[in-house]
Amino acid sequence: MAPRVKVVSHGETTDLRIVRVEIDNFRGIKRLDWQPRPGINCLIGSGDSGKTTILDAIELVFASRNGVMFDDADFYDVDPKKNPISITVTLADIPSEFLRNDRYGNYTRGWHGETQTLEDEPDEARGFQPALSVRLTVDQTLEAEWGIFNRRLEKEGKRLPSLSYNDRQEVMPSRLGPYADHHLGWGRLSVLNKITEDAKGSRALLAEAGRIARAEFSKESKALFAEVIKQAKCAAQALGVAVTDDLQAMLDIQAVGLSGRGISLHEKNLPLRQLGLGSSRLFVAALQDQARVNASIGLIDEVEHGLEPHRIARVLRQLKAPKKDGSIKAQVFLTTHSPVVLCDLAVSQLHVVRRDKITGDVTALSAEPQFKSLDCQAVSRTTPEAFLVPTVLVCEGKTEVGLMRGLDHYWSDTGKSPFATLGIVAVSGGGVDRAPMVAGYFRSLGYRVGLLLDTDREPDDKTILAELKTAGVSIFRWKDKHATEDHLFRDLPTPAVKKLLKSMISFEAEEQSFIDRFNRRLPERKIKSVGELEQLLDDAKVREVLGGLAKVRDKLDKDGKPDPRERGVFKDIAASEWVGEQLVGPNLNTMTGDFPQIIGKIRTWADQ
Amino acid sequence: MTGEVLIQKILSCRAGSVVAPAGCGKTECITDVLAAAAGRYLVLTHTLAGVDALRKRLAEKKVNSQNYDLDTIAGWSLRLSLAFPQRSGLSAFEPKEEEWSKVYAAAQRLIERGAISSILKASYAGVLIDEYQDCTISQHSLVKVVSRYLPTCVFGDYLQSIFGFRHDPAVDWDVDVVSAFPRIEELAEPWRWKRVGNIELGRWLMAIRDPLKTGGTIDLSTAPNGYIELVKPNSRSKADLRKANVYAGLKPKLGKDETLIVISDKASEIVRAALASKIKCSSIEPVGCKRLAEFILQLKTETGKARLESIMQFAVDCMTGVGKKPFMDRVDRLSTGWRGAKPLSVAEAAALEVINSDGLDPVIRLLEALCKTANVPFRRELMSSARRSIKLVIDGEQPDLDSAAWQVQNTARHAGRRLASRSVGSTLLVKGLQFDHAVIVAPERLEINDLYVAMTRASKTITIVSPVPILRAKAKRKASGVTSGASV
Repeated sequence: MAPRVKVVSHGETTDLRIVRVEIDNFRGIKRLDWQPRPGINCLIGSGDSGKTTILDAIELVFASRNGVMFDDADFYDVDPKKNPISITVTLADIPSEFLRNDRYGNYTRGWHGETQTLEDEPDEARGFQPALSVRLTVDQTLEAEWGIFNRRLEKEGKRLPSLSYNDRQEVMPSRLGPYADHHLGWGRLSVLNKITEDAKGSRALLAEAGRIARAEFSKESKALFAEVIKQAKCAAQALGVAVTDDLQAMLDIQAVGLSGRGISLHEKNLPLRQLGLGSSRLFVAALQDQARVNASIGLIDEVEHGLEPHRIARVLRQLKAPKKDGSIKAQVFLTTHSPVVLCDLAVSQLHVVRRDKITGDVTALSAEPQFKSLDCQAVSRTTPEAFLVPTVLVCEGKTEVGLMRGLDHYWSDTGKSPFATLGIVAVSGGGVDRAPMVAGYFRSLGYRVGLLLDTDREPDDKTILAELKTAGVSIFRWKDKHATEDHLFRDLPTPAVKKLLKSMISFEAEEQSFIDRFNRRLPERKIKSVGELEQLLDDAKVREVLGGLAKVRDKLDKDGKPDPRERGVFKDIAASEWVGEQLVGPNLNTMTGDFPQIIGKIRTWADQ
Repeated sequence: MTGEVLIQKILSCRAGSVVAPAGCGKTECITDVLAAAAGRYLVLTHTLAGVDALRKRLAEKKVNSQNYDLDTIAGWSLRLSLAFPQRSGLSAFEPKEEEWSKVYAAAQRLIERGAISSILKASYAGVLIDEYQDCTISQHSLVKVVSRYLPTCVFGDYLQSIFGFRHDPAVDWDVDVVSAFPRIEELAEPWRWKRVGNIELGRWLMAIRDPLKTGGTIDLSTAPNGYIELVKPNSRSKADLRKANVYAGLKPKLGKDETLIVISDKASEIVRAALASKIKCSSIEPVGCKRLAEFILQLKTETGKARLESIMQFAVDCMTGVGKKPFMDRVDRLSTGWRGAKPLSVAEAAALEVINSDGLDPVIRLLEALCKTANVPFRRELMSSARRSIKLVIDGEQPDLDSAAWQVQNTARHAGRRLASRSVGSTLLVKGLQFDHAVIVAPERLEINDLYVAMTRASKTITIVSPVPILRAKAKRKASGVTSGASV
């Protein structure tokens, strides 16, 4: 293949890539209009959101006519009559030979990379670079039509011009599915075949292999088939058919077919496809990388499939690596369910796929848009799991996360649906100012979002809660001026508070310092021991003070302010998880007031 | 044949012009450049005749057709503009005569705004434009914009500029062309005449250029012996002039495979057809022919006998030996129920049907029958266009005669025309074509450039109808307003 001249746009060298994907009525997708980015595009979202369907759609647009069969199940709502399939993929930075006006130049459209807008015609001086849309349509006859699409051609109403076989080969994405075995042989469409073709011409090579096989075979076959041949000879002679002594068994090259799957990569005598799943995928990924000299587009299903975390990182690093000529890999589309993968990617590479269950419309939103001053990258690093579910419960801090997790355990044990089943994850928002932003960020990506906040302090941003409410975030707040710890110490029945107290003290280096701090806060009591304190747990004032103590430690920094590093005892997920499961859950029915009520509201919201 | 130095000069120039007197190997030069070029070139010319000639020569030289995109400036501009209607501002459009300048403006707008610069650069390594003297100001303006993106070399001869529009005049070579495309060469070897052993005639035709350009005259007495024949009319009376024209038209004796062109009035296809019918020649028809349009209108709007009358008149206008009068008389009587002794001929049967039906079937049968018995098909092209248009409609390939005629003429544009060995044409129709013998009637009606074009068509003999040996070109009318290159 001739080396490709690169098209220069906006002063930088980029490779062919997909800039827009439009899908109508394909499988679970009623409608999708998505603008992927250069480089890595990682599709995330819940199981039935349509991530793999998007990869399939992209692959099919470039598939060859005789390679694909469609059936009714490929149509949205399994209704080919009402819902004809249409998939349009727009390519930018197309090879310059495509731009010739006797090739596809006159069919090009205009893509503006900065504003991500597509116009029907290029307008280079305004930044609308030539782009090419390829469309696949299938109607109720199940006959698929491929062609180059633009509004001008559509208006003419003629059959769309087609992308030639060779050109399609040049732009066709390579796909690394969950199982990659066939790539380890020389079968059709295998990556090994592609490499061979580029290097020498696989047909000549395979022919030569056939010749060797026959020569080798004939060495042993005389002895091996001697008896059979003898009998055949006799039979022939009996009927008067003249056969010479040259009669021998020989490989019939056409029947045995060394033309493909017959040959595969082996290590010694072991076929490489018997490598572990992860290894063979890694190996194939490496091969594909090799084959992708033209830096086309890659599609990878569930990139983590069969791989340990450290090897995932290795694969991702490989995908992100600059090529020999310094440019980054054109474009790779991934799907994943793995937080490990998310942690390793930039938010700009994440696209949240979501399907509206009623309309069937699917969106793929980039996770990059800023939400106020929030560092989105940190969100994906610290709470990647939140991106992988439909519903996120953003809690003010770790205390609330632990509490919710504990409650979830309790509820599960008592027969209610676990959060995992409901697709809910509770994550820490990192404080009263940040948590609302995290909630707003997830909401802007289309997640169903709940926000649980203490009320002992209001966020600095006075309007943010109203904004979130308008955006559809469900906000849950404790009783006025109450932190979680306040509620715990004030609202739980006495035996539970006693356990809380014990737990709190177990975190102290020595009991005496705890008692000193208590006395400092409540000088009129003059407590002498923990045992004495335990007797006073019915006293509301005592409970109030204990709640305050649980929130923060009294150690002050050199400016006389509470040291922010000195956190309360339950500001630790494991501790508060225990509280939630063991103390709060079992007492929900016996408690009264705002605390159990708000928890009830959260449960109702979770069950929605 | 073209020097290597010149080829390299042309291939490496950013913007330049080559002056090419008639017969000096301009087409050869262009084909040689294309044969030597790496990459695909846009090759534009002004007329369809020019496209035909170039295509033929490129095929002869076996230049890979992947290496060039050959069209008229008009055709290319239209194609380009319609491919990007939003940017050019031109949507589905079949331009008429005066509307072509809109097409050039649209193409210029498209390119000038930088909408498709990388498409242009990917499509072409450079641009070569033939017959550049015939570019109008608006075409020239377009080409200048193209040359910002692609190396452009133009070829032409200021003495062969014969086109022009009232509202869009031709470029002035010395003023417009040279300033945008500096001269890089003037071809000087009269190959056309040298090749057939008539180098003396070729040299003389080179020598008449300067006096013709400056004084507007040609002195035939200075010509080398044996090439030029002067036919003097007996008087200036119309009858004598006509007689002299016919005499001149029949004068050249054609050898085997030789061709003759009779160059006549450029303003009237009727005058030319009349002359053609008398001297056994075929008239070269302009595309967008008026007579064909008129005939189609008659077929569509007339009925019964009037329609038959129009068909027969059309046949008479195309061929001799139609015998319209006796034919019509007999059909008249047949139509009233009379049965003569002779059986009905195919033509007569068809004619009777034409009277009774508005369909096209009998029309085509009648025309076909008439063509079989006719004598000289002096407007052969016109007749065949009419017949093919009618057939396209009958076969259901075109919805009506107008679109069928457009289709037929358009196909002819692209396929190129095959000329009869004896043709009558105007300077407009024969420019760029070559013949063995030429007859020039009424040279006094030709302007300087028409006269030069007429004089340089033939490589062997030139017969001129003139009372005097000094030819004086008609004073140039400013912007003569004839016809666009696109429709010729």
